[in-house]
Amino acid sequence: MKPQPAILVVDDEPDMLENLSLALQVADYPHLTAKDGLEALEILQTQPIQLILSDIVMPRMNGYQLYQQVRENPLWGAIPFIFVTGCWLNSEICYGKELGVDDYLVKPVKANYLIAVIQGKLRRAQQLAKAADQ
Amino acid sequence: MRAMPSILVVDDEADLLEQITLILEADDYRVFTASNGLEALKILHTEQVHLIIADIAMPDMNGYQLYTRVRENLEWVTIPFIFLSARTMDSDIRFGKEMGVDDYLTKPIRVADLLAAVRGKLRRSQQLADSLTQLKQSQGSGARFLTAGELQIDLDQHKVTWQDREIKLSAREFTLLAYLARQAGKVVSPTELIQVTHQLETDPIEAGTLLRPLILSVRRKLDLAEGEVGSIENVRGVGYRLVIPA
Repeated sequence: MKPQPAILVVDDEPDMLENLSLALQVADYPHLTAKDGLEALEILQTQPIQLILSDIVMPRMNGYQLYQQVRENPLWGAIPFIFVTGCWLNSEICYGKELGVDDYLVKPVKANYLIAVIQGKLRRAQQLAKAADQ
Repeated sequence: MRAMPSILVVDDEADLLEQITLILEADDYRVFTASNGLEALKILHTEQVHLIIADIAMPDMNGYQLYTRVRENLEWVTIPFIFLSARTMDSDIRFGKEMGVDDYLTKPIRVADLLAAVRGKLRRSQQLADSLTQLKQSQGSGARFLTAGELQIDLDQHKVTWQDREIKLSAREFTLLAYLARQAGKVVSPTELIQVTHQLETDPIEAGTLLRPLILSVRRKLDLAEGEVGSIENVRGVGYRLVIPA
């Protein structure tokens, strides 16, 4: 059976991964976790992913690098990509947004806000997919 | 990026419209303004708009209503839509984002924040358009299969068949073959291929070294004669291409 598309959560802090996973589990979203960008890319190669939540500061491959790799692959071009990060400086937020990321959330993130953002981005992705089919 | 993208700014406060217009024009955008949703719709019918920035609380037609109308129209559905509102409560922002709006900015807005959001959304819009073009080119009219002669690639199921015989490929081999098949007939450089298969940005020599075993493995599994439709051909000094029917 074809696996259901999942949300990919990328963060090097185990506690954060657990908190985000819990919020997704409560909202009934299937999800997978990776502790850095390289692990995330391995998952993307093999699993259908519908949205990516990624930290920025991580070892081996950081969130900016992961974002760039994801956007360079046309197969992954439509996947909404959201930074969930402790990088809260205005300059960092502006930099992240200018890259074209779908949203930029600063930790700590309330679960209901996170889920609202995810719902919105998935809704938007569906609209765009529908438009692409026309 | 497109030359001088045009932005539609919708707000019932004349002063704010003027300020936003000045900021955007100084950053080389063409700006259209409207004082409510109805005026905005009229502009959308007559002008090409690349991004919309709209207030929420406005007379005649508010920002939520405008957003819904824009998203219902297939011609406008890809236009990035940003709310710029004085409604700053968590519940307001959550509501807006849940609708699927591309960004939600709050007043008063800093110039840097506004420009970052605008540039980012226009960049994303262009990325999406590029991805869609590439996928559409490869998938024809929305088909989920890529084909070259008897070679069939099912993108959803990660399945490759040749004359109904399934060919088992690793994830990386599949990525390589699918990428070549998307641009069937076109020569793709080793550096481009290695970015897709190994997520590496490297020089042509290293790319060639890394790529060769992968190409050999796919060729062995496909077991096609050299030059046969569906086989991978090496164009010496340039790259590789998937052979298509002449």
